[in-house]
Amino acid sequence: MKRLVSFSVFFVFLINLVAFSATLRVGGVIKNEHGAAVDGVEVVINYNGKTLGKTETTTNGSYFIEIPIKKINPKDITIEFKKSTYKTIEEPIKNILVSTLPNGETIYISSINETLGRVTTPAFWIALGVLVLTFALISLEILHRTVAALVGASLLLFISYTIGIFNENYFVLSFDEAVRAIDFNVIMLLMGMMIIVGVMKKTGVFQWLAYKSYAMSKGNVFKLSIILMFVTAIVSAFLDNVTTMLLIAPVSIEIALMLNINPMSLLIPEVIASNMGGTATLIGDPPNIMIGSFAHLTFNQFLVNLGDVILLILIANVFVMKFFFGKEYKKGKVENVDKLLEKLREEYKITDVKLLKYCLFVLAFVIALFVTHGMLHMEPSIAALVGAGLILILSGVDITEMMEKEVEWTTLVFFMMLFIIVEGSVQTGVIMMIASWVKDLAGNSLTLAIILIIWVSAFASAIIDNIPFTATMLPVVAYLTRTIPDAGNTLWWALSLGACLGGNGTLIGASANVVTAGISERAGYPITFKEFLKVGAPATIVSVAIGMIWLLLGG
Amino acid sequence: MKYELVLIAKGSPNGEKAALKAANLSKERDINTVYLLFVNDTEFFKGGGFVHLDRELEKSLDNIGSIIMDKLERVIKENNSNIEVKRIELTGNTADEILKFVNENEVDTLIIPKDERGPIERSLTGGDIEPFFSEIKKRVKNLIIVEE
Repeated sequence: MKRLVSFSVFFVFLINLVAFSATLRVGGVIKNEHGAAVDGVEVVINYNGKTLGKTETTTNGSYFIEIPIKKINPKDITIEFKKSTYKTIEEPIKNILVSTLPNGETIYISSINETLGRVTTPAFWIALGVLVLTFALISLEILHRTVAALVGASLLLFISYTIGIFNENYFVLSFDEAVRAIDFNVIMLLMGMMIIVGVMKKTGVFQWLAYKSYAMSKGNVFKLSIILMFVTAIVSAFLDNVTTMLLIAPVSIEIALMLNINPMSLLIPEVIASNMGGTATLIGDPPNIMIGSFAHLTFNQFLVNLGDVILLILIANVFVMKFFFGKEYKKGKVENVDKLLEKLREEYKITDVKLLKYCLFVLAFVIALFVTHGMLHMEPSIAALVGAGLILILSGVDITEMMEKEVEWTTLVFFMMLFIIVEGSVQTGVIMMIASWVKDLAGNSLTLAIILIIWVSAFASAIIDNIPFTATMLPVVAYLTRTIPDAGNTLWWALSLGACLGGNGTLIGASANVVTAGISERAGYPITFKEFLKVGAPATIVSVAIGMIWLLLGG
Repeated sequence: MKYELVLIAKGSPNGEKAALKAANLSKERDINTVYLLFVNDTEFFKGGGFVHLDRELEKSLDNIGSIIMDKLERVIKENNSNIEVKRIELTGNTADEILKFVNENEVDTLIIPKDERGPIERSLTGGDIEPFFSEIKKRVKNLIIVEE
């Protein structure tokens, strides 16, 4: 009896084994119409209205699903690809290869790659609306930029996780997508540099540089303007432009007032030079940091490809400034140059020589790491973080005081939220639409693409904040770089030149322009929008034209 | 406290014109002391750089304020060598500080140099006191606006 029961159990097991002895394996890659991988696509295997299995595509767009199947014809099984803002595709599984394993198991294998087309859903309009509104709020300074970006990002997520849960056409982006969109290389690089600058500024070295510029000029105002332009450009190549101008501009105003010249004649050339200097290096301007991180361009690549053209642009702009302010420079006179020098020396001396030595050592070390980070396959943020750690140890500065009172956390939060807003536009097809427009205009012509990107970027940057503009353009330029023959990195340089230099176009083109105007106004010399435009627009046109020619010549 | 003549210190050519006006007025009315009032206003700066620079900005504006007041004092004394020039330095929002000053003190004559600024500049850099002129006028005996 026992034997009979055991045999029956074994027989039933054997039958079932035979009945389930087939496996269906399906894999492939899902891309969008631009050839970019689409992650988070729901892949569902159906049979007669019943779901047999499901999975999701990974960040590189690939999926793989393996399901046991009973004795059914695999050709009756369908596969469905579904993601909000994309057209759903459901099709029978084709090109099935059959194989039988030694144990008698049958394996059905199929590879299905698909291109998903976009659909315009309410999520598209929500993402576009938030992007445009954030741009406007930041550019017109209606809200603090961090508040504008935070509200925009939180709104996208809020809509996705309320209305979007009940109706997927309103789903903009998931929390995971939002977090993945934040480029922590950019955030860490900024944070590291903030700490380094926060310690360095305690030495008074930046103001000292401005005083030293006056000392070198020996009372010649035009010479002073040139020296200040170059000093500002070099400092801006390593610090952000706002910090540079806030530290150097007041000294320039003092010098101008004592020379009895309009401070504008020193300030406008300086702020223009600061926007230029920041273009020359990976770390000089936030747009470059974002471009470098997104496109994996190194510090050396920026310096080699943009350093020489920026120097040329700077020299050209010295003549532009002479044209506009030459008469004002001639007016400059001070009764007693030595007395003025003594006053400035006393006001702007280095306040902590030992700390300065530590800072210069750490800065040299960090720059060395920036120069070699490409060879070491190291993210530039690591260089900045190491430098920040070192400077904190050597200087003995209180970390709490540094974090609470020095580091501009609002800037970091701004960047994080901005990445999320742009990702919302990527996920809903807004960016793809912009990229398609640009590609339609440029076709396969690299020349046309360079001209388009550099001038559109410059024009846009003159009106709106170049940071959100650059963030939006990154995937667009990536698409063009992929699809235009022989593009190499040229289009990235075009974006960098356009976005950074364009900030010189108008008073609202860059935050450095606005803070300089603010300080100048407090001194009694308001820089009006018209006055800045009169100088800034020609300077920008000259600069961008030189940049464009340089790129077209293969520079 | 009572102030016979107060001049809002501005470094512009208009500011110098206002200083000249103050010097002439002091001669006409036999006023012994002119008060130069400078407001150290950093409120236009909303951050956006790498580091907080409020302290450095305040110190810089302090230095700039000293130079402006030196210049204006020279202009006043060149036109009225008998006058004494005293300085008042306030820190905060320009309009708020001036209003507070005229509310808390008795000001006979207040001279304000007015430089032309458009709506874009006013919204970007702040420091606007024109909207408060009528308020200020109620609290001083004579308000003199010196325009370009």
